[in-house]
Amino acid sequence: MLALAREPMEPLDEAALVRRARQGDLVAYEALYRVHAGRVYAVCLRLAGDAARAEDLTQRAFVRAWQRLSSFREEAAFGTWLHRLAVNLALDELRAEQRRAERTAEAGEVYALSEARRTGPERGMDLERAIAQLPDRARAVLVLHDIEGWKHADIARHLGVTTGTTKSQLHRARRLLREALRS
Amino acid sequence: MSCEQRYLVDEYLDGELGQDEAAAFEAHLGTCASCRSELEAVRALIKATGELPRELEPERDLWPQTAEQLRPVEKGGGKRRWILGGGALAVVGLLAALCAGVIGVGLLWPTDPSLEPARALLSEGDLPGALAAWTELSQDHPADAEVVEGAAYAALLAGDLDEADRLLSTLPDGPEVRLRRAMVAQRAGDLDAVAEHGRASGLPAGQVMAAEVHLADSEPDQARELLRAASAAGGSVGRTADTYLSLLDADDEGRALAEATALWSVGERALSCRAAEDLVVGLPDGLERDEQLMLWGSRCVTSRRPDEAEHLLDEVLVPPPGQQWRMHALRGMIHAARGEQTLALTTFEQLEQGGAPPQGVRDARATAASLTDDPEFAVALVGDQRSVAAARVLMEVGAVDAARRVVPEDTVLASVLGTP
Repeated sequence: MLALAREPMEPLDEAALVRRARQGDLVAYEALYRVHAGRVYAVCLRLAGDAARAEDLTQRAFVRAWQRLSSFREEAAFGTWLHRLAVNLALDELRAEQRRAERTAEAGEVYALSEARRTGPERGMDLERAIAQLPDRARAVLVLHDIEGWKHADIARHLGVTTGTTKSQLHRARRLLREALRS
Repeated sequence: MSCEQRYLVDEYLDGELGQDEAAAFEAHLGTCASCRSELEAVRALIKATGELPRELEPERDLWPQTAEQLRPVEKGGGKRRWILGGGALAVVGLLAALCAGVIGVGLLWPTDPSLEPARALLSEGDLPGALAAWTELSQDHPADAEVVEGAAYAALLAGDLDEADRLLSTLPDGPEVRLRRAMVAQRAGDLDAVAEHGRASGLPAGQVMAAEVHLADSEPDQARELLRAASAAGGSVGRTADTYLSLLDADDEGRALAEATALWSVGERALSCRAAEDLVVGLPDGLERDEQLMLWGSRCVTSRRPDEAEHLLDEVLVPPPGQQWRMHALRGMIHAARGEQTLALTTFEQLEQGGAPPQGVRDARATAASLTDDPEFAVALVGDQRSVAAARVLMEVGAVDAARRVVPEDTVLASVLGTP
């Protein structure tokens, strides 16, 4: 079913789909979902490092986007906007989790939590798995810089840190990745 | 064995090194096997990560579960009517519209060319000089309405509100005089006088000012009557009145937001921010909510309430198009208001490097400087800009030497301050 739905049956006029979805047309919105779900899920999975959370984030991104469609006017940029929205949701969640961890958890609990995440269902690729096992902040910087192509200044602003920090996190992430891939 | 320059490999490959640094590092690569091998390893890793698929299929179809969470699109009625009908944008413009109204009133002020020098003093911010010049003129020409109005205006800007009202009260009563007395009363925080003069002026701007006092006092019926009259006149003030009316006619939240906005306009900033905070956070998701969050975040921080401002900004889901930099500028101001010097300065530096509108960042820096009482910090915040606004902020915190350095040449303020 997925494969079928992804096949372009007619030239896809995304702007028209967005306008129809804004009127409440669920069929049009499902078409938009089919086009963009893979991209949204990929960035959520890599930022969250965990498939269950990535599924939750993907759904939330599409629900939020639906709620906000009525005020969204740049139909042509829907994909970019949706992607950004998903990244923001995922980063918010990372920040919230860090705050929770700092506030409440004892060291052992934090360890248990992150172990549970890291044994979650992963893609078979070594590199993907190694990325998933990076510390949260370093992983976010690596995903946004090396996979999503963001600039340090943008990443720093989203994470609320300096570009010096994002550069050193990127260096650290790459070093950890190479160590993981060697072992 | 590792070389101590290997930390440069990442920045070199990412194109983050300057031309000279890159050339120096390339020369180093020619002689250092350790760095060459590091370079190849990092390059291979970047290539591999860059080749990862941009799309990954979830292991199960998430659509059915997502679709269940999608509520039908609301069409008209209830809360969304005012919040989606462009109403919120109009609310964002409220203050701007009122400022335009005030500037419009300002344009009614004297146009006689012989008064030009005194007007120039005003427009360039030399308030003591302007007040002195206008007072002298008004003493020489006590029956000249233009001169007396000019002197009152200078007194208003210089903060001598009693003198401003006294001067205006010597003029024959009329709509414009009443409107100006309402403006002076608003500056003085005399709300009863604002309502009285605003209503008596019979002019739309005065009616809106009077209506705002009634709204701030939770007297919506009296406010409505004045707003309907102002609305009939059209123009930007009429649109402001329309926005208030649509908020009042919407629902409880709309009325509360109208009151909070009115409180801000009448100068009750702390009350206004407190009233608005929960309301705005509770708005339905959407672009308008994000705009309102940023608007009130900005109001909170400029009235030195950084914690409320931060709370509001944290709630923004996606900044409105083109407004990302403004979010960070506001965060810079929050840091400044809290005295977090390094964070504030870093934020503005990053904005400058990140391509934010230069004038916007300069204004944000000057605003941030007005939020601290520490002269040295204010000087650092202002940075290397030269503007009358920055000079005035620095004068206010007592950094007069620094104000001399940043005041643009060929302005009256520069000649008053002297050269460094």
